[in-house]
Amino acid sequence: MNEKTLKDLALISSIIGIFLLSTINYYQEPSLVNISQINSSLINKEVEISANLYSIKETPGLYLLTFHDNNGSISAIIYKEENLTFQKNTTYLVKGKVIRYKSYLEIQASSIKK
Amino acid sequence: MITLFLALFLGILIGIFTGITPGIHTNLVAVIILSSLFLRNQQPEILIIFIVSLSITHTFLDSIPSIYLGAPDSDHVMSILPGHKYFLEGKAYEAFILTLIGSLSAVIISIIFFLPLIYLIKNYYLLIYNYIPYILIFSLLILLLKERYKFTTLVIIFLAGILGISVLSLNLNQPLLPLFSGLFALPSLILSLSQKTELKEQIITFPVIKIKELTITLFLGLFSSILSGTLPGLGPAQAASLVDSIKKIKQDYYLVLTGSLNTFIMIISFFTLYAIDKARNGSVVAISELVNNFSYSYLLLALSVSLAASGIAVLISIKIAKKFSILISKINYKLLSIIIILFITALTIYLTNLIGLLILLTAACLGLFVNLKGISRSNLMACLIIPVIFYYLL
Repeated sequence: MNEKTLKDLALISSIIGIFLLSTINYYQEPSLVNISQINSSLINKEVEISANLYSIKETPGLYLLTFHDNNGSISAIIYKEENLTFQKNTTYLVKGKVIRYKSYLEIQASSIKK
Repeated sequence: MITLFLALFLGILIGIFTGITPGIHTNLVAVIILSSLFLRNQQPEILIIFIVSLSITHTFLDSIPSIYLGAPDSDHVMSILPGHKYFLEGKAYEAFILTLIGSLSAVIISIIFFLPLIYLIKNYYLLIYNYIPYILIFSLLILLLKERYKFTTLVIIFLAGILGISVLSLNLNQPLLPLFSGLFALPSLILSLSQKTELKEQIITFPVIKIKELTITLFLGLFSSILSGTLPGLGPAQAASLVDSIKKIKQDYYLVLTGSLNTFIMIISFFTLYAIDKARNGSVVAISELVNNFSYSYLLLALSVSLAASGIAVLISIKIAKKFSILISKINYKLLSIIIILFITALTIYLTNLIGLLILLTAACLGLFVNLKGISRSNLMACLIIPVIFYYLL
C-alpha cells in the first residue's frame, strides 16, 4: 500500500458513502419527531409524531385535530376520504406533511393510527 | 438535501477541530450538543448525520495530539508511547498514516460485516449479560498483571473506583466531564507545560504495510472492539491492552491497532444502540437522547455517513498531518495547552458548578500521580469499571 492507494480508497469510500446517504435519505420513511422539533425547515416534508389527541373539530370535508406531546402541541388536518373515528386523550401515530396555515405550522395527515 | 450535506460537512469540520485539539474528547462535544437547544430542535436525520460525521472524523484525527504533542485523550493512552516515539525519531507522519490506515480499514470492515456483527452483538450480549461483572474484574486483573508496580497500581485502581462511585452518586448533570477531563486530559496538558523536548525535523515517509500482518491486527482489533463496544466501562485503551496480552503486536501494527480500535468501537456502538438499545459512549448517548427510536434506516444512514466522513477525513487529515509535520516546531504548544486547560476548567464550572471543579481537581491529582509514577493510565478507567461491577453485583 502506498499514499496513492490510500487516497484512492478514501475517495472511493467518500463517493460510495455520499451516494448511499442520498439514496437512503430519498427512500427513508418519515422520521418520528417530537412536536417541538417541527419547525419551518420541515415545511413540505413528511414527518411522524406520536402524540395525545387533545381536541377534535369536524367540518364537512375534514377533521381538525389538536395533538399534545411532552414538548408541545400541533394541529393536524385529515380529509374525510374514509370513515374515521377519533377518541380524545388517546395516543395516536400521526404521519403526514408539514404545512403552513396562516402563520402556524400544522400537519396535513395522510394516516392517523392508534 | 442541502441541509443533509451541510450537516455532514459541518460535522467533519468540527470533528477535525476536536480531533486535533488535545484534551477535547467526543464525550465533551456530546455534552455541548446535548446542552444546545438549537440542535435539540433539528430533525433526527440531521442530528444523526452531524453527530456521526463529527464522531467518526474525530476518531481519525485524535491520534494527532498524541503523536505530535504527546497529549492523548483517554482513548489513545496506550498509543502515546509508540506514536510519540516515532515523532521523536522525526517520523510522526508515518505513525499517523498507520493509525489512519487502521481507522479507514475499521470503517470498511464494519460496513462489510455489519449484519453478522449485529447478529453477534444481539446474541452474544444475552449470553454474557450475567457474566459482565466477572469479565470486567478479569479485564482489571489483566491490566494489573501487566504493570510493574502492582501494589501501587492496585491502590490506584481502588482510588479511581472510589472516585468513580462517589462522582456517579452525586446526581450531577454531566459527571463524566470533570471526571475524565481530570483523569486524562489535564494531567497530560499540565505535564507538557513542564517538558522541554528538542524537536527533530520531521520527514514525510509512508510506512511499509504487509497485508497479512494488517489483516491479523484488524481482526484482533475487531474482536476486542466487540468486547469493548458491548461491555460498559471498557474503552479503546483497555481493548488495546487486552489484545496486546493475547498476541504481542509489532510497534507499527500496534499503531494500526489503536487507530482501528477507536473507529471500530465508535461504529460498534451504533450497532449496540440499534441491537440492544445500549449507549456506550457520549456521541451515542447524544443520539439516543435526541432521536426517539434508532431504527434500522437510521443505522443505515449512520453507516453511510461513516463511510462518507471517513473518506473525506482521510483526504483532509493527510494534508493536515503534512502541515503539522512542517509547522510543529513553530507552534507555541505551551500557550495552546494553557488555553485548553482554561477552556476545560471554565466549561466544567459552567456545566457542573463548583462541585464539578472539585472533582476535576481531585481527578487531575490522581491522573498526575499515575503519569509521574509511570503507571498505565488505562488503569484509571477503574473509575467506570468498578461502579459498573458494583451495579451488576449489588
